[in-house]
Amino acid sequence: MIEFYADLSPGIVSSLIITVALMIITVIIGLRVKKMSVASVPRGITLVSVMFVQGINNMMHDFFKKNWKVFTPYMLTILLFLLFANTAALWGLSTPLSNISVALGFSILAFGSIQVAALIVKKPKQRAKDLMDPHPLFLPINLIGEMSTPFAMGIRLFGNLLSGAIIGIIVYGLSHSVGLMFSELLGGDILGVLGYGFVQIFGVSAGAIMIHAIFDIFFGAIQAYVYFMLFTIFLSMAVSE
Amino acid sequence: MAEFTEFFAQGMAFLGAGIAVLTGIGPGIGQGYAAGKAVEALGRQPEAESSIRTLMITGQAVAETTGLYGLIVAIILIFAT
Repeated sequence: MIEFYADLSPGIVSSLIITVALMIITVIIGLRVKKMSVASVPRGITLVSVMFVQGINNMMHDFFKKNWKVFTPYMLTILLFLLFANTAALWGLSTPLSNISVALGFSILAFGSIQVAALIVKKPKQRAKDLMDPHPLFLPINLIGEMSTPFAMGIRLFGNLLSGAIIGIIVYGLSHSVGLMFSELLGGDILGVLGYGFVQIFGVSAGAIMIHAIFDIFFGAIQAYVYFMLFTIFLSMAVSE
Repeated sequence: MAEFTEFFAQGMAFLGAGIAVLTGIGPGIGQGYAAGKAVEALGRQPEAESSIRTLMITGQAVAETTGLYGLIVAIILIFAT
């Protein structure tokens, strides 16, 4: 059993860790909100999560006119997972979305949920009519369009997070190898160690200041928002009358 | 007559990776255009700053996709051949 988890690639391991952590945190916050009386004022993390849920509710209300109550928890879950997954490098985990399996998993998730939701909300007859929209000859083109948009969404996440991860690896790896070169150049015992440490400190602090701020927090949050927004738009288009 | 060895294939894969990364030109032009239009919109309607910024960044992130395809092709060419 333990060998199975030990042999997984680091992206999948960190995705599992994030899933379990989010499950525990959301259950704790949910119990706190449930125990609150109507008159009491929420504080701290409870207030933040209540306002977050309220904001998402208002947003979803504009997109899904009629059946927004069905889809809002699902979209909120995806946004929450992506927000924590894209900033996972801050906690020393490797970013899950820089693994192609997780990214394509998100493509499959988008594709499957859009198709199933469209089949359930519209009846299969109306759905088939929509797929053959101007003329039955357009069916293959429409099918390709249905498949290519979720694929592009997953690949977009993968490319962004992978480029961030590669630049982080380059900076940290370069600081290590340049430090080794320095210590060989300086030769002596204590001087070489000092030179290695100096270069290492410089490289790691530059990485910590720039790489994590730009590629993890900024791009990660933007990509999570973009995936969430595109998913919402396509899903609401598929289930709208 | 050149010999077609595996080193030749490797070198050609690296050249192809360099050419594939040229896709960055397209998103560069597109994102710059979006930023310029956002500045124009801001000059016309300064009170709508936050929504203009959100729209601009979302649009730029979507326009980035084609450049990322080139990046992924280059990475595949470098590491998978």
